[in-house]
Parts: sequence; structure tokens; C-alpha cells
Amino acid sequence: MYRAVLNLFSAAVETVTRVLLSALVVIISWQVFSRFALNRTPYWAEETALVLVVWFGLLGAGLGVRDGTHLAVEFFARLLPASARLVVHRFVFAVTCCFALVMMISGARLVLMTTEQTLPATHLPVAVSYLAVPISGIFIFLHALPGVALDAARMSAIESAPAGSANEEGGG
Amino acid sequence: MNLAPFVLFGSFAVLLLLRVPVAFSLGASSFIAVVYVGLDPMVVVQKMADGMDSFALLAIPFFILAGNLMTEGGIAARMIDLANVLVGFIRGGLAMVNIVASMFFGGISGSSVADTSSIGTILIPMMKRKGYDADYSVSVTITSSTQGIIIPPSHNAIIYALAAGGSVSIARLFLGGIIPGVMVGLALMVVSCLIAARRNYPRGEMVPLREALKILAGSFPGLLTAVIIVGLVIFGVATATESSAIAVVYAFLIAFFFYREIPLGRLSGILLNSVKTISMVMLLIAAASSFGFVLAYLRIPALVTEALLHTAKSPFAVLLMINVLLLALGCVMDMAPLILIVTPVLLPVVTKIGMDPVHFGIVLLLNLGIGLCTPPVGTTLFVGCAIGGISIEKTTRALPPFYLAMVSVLLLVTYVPWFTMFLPGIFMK
Repeated sequence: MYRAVLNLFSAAVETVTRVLLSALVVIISWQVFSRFALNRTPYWAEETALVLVVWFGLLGAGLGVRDGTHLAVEFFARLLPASARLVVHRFVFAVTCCFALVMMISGARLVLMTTEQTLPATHLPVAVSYLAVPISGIFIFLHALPGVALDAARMSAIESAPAGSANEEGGG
Repeated sequence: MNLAPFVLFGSFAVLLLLRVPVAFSLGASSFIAVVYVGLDPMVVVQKMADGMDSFALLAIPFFILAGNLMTEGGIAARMIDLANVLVGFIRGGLAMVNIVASMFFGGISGSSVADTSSIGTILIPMMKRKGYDADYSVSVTITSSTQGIIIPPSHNAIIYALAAGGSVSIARLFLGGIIPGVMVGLALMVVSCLIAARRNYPRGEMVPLREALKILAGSFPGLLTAVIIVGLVIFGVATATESSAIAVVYAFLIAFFFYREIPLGRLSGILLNSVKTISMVMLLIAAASSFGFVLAYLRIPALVTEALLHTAKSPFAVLLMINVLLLALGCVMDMAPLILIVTPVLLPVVTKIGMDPVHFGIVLLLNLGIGLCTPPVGTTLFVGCAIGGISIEKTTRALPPFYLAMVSVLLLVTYVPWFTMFLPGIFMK
């Protein structure tokens, strides 16, 4: 049940982030085109793009938690015996969960505090972009939670993922 | 005594050593420090969101996406063909080709891992077939791929500009990276050539003129991507963000309608791969912006500046210490997080001794690029060894001459500002 709902949620996020990335390209290209060809800069373009990029970045971060692609210093943990590594893995997921909780709670407060403020050009509430924080917090939390009770079999599956392919070109 | 800096760095170090992803380590330690000094913890998530709310930052997703489109669209093979025309006939020809192809490719992708995985996948097996040893082939591939980080356009240069607080001109950074990037390539060519002569590796054949012209024409649209991006930015026609969006559209058209090696259906997959890479970088930037806020709040950059300038008496010694520190950090950590963490702390130090932020940026990128090729943790090294089917230990034994070349260039670029500042000085008055 948990898995099924989460997979649905993930599939939705995968689609939404792809659409957001494409939309960002279109908006900024349109801004350039409009400035040169129509001689005016669309008033909404930059502000909208900035709202979308916050959503895009934070939602995508949840996919990174699911796939275990966020850059970490693996070297020292690798030196530990398997039993200790299992504890370390659980600890990592627990820290991730805690941080996701901070994102949810503080993020929700931030949203509630900024519903009255509006952005200068589009008059959207400032909360629209901050809303991405608690929503992404939920998404990250759901992906990290099962890891807190990680077992040895799943751990070896995580660890056998090839080092380079996991974070393709994130390093630079 | 104020313990808050120790709370911040202590919790960060512990989390990092326990394999907590860098982004979450940054966020969690900021949270702990903020609670410790009695601020509202809400500020942590607010700074995270604000850190992403930047127009300059938008260039990063676009550069990564444009690079992926070009890479999947078959640009690597064309850059290799072009390099073969130019340098393939020299002793150890394929190594030269590898280095020159990385130089061109760096102008398109700006990522050393992308470079190693696309150029390496083609060239490493080819080199092995022609009698080059695997350790040599992998060493040449990974070290030369670091040119991509410095040769513009480079998304890591944008990350640096963001970490520097938006006071560094991206156009100047782009221009500043060109000469040092080419210097890395030349230094590596000298080393590879010497080793090739000793190990008696073969030379390639001269490409006939007709063939050469055809190859040049085929690679031209790909090379144009870099020219478009850098040109628009340098001449102030469009911002880095705008020109990177144009580059995405251009790369899309070239990959799907000009080279036509992949079906349009691949687009969805390319987008998803890009999303994963980008959001990893974005979360880092977000978390680093909370961390940076706490650093500034605790006045840590000022304290570090004072301490460093107190221990090292001359600018020469300060720069040496910084370079050694960065090389050591680069051995265990990845590039993007390091740029984000060290820039706010070290930039005030070097500007105090009169270094231009553009000059420091290039030194930083060059230095951390070496870190990508060093064990125990080097993303590019890992990918290269996986492609070459050789152990990290074996490759590491072949690497020292290449490190020597890179470190020599690093020191030259560090102590002779001219290499970095010449082009920005000409184009941007």
C-alpha cells in the first residue's frame, strides 16, 4: 500500500519536473525572442521562472533521495564492517527524515506567514514558491522513512550500485 | 567563548563522515547551529528557498540539459573525428586526440564526468585495441576531461559565481577560463607524448584533405554551441541564463533534426536524466545558502581571514596554504559541494590580499578538477576506471606524471594572474 501510493507520487513528480524543466526553457527563450523580435520584455517571465525553479529543484531532490544519488562522502563509512554500516545507513535515513520534518513544519509556517505578501510583477502570493518546501519535505520524508528500518539484504543492493553511474556528471 | 562555530562545523563534520549526503549535512548542521544560537529555525528553510530564487542560477539547469542533449545526440564522436584530423598523426596519436577532443567537448558540456563517460566510452576501447595500456588510456581520458570544467561554458563556474554572492561577472569568468583550460591540455599533451615515446605507442595516419573538410563541416554545428553561448554573454547581448536557454533550443534542434542519430522519443529520457543531475546540484545550492547564512551570521569568514593572514605572512604563503588545503579536501569530497562551502569562507581571504575574484575562481576550479581524478574519492576517476575495466589502484599508479602536469599548471595560474586576467582585460573594459 505504502509503496503503491509512493510510486504513484513519484511518477507524478517525474512528470511534473520534466514539464517544469521544459517550461523553464520555453519561458526564458520566449523572453529573449520577445525582447529582440517584439521589442518588449514580458513582465511575467522572470518572476514565473523563479517560482517554477524552486518547485523544480526541491521536488527533484526527493527523486534523488529515492535513487540514492545525492553526493555523500562514502569513503569512511566503507571502512566499517557490515553490521556497523547497517547502523550508519539507518542513521543517514533518520537524519534525512528529521530534516524533511523541518522542511514540513518550518516550511508550513513560512507559507502561512507569506500568503498576504505578493510578488511585484505577477501579484502571485509569495507563499506560492515557499509552498514547494513543505510539499517536497513530505516527498523526501516518504522516501527516506522505509530506510530507517533498512535490512541487510536491501543494504547490499544499495551499496552494489556502481559509484560513478549513480551520480552521473553531478561532480563536474 | 562563543561555541557556535564549533557546533556548526562539528555537527557538519560528524554528519559528513557518517555518510549523510552533503546537502542534508549542510541543512541539518545549519538547523542545529540556528537552534543553538536561539534564532527561529524557520530561517533555515527560508534561506534554502531564497537560495534557489535567483535568475543566474537558472543557467545551471540549462547548461546541464544542453550538454546532455549534445552528448546523447552524438557530438562526442564528431569531436573525436575532428581532433583526429588535427593531432592524430603525432606519436601516441590517440592520446593527443583524446586530449584535444576533451578541449572541444569541454566547450559544450562543462562537466568532466560527462566528458569521461562520452569520450572515454569511444576512445578507451579504441586505444586498448591499438596497443595502448589501459592504465595510460584511462589516465589520459580522466585528466584531460577536467579541461571541461574550466573551458567555458561551465556550470561549475556559475556555481562559483553564485557562491561568491553574485559579485563576480560570469562573462569574465568564462573568458578567464580559456587560457588556463588550454594550458592544462597542452601540459597533458607533453606528458602523454613523452610516455607514448617511451612505451612506443603507435602514431595514427594523416587524414586526407577531402575527408578532413567533411569532418570539419560535420563538427561545426556542435562547436558553434559554445561559440553562441560564450559570444552572447561576452558581448552583453544576453545574460548567461538567457544564452543557456537558447543553447538548449539549439542543442535540441541539432541533436534531433541535424545529426538525427537518436529518435525524438529519447527526449523524455534525456529530460529525466537531466532532472536528476540538476536537482542534486540545486538541493546542494539551496542547503549551502542556509549554511552560508549561518557562516555570515557567526562572522566565520572574518575569523578565518584573520587567522589565515596571521599564520601565513605573505600572499605567496596564503595561496600555497589554500591550494594545499583544497587539494586535500578535493581528495575526499566532490566539486560542487566544495565550491559552495569554501567560496564564502576563502573569497574574503584572497580579496584581502588583492586577488581578483575571477582569478580565484579559476584557481579554485582548476584545483578541485584535480580532486576529481584523485583517490579515494574522485567521481571522474571512478567512471574512467569503470569504462577501462581496470582497478582504481592500477590507474592511480600511472597517474603521478599527469598530476605533476596539472599541479604545475595550477601553480602557474595561481601565481601568474596574467593567464587568467588577460582575456577578460581585453574584452571587458
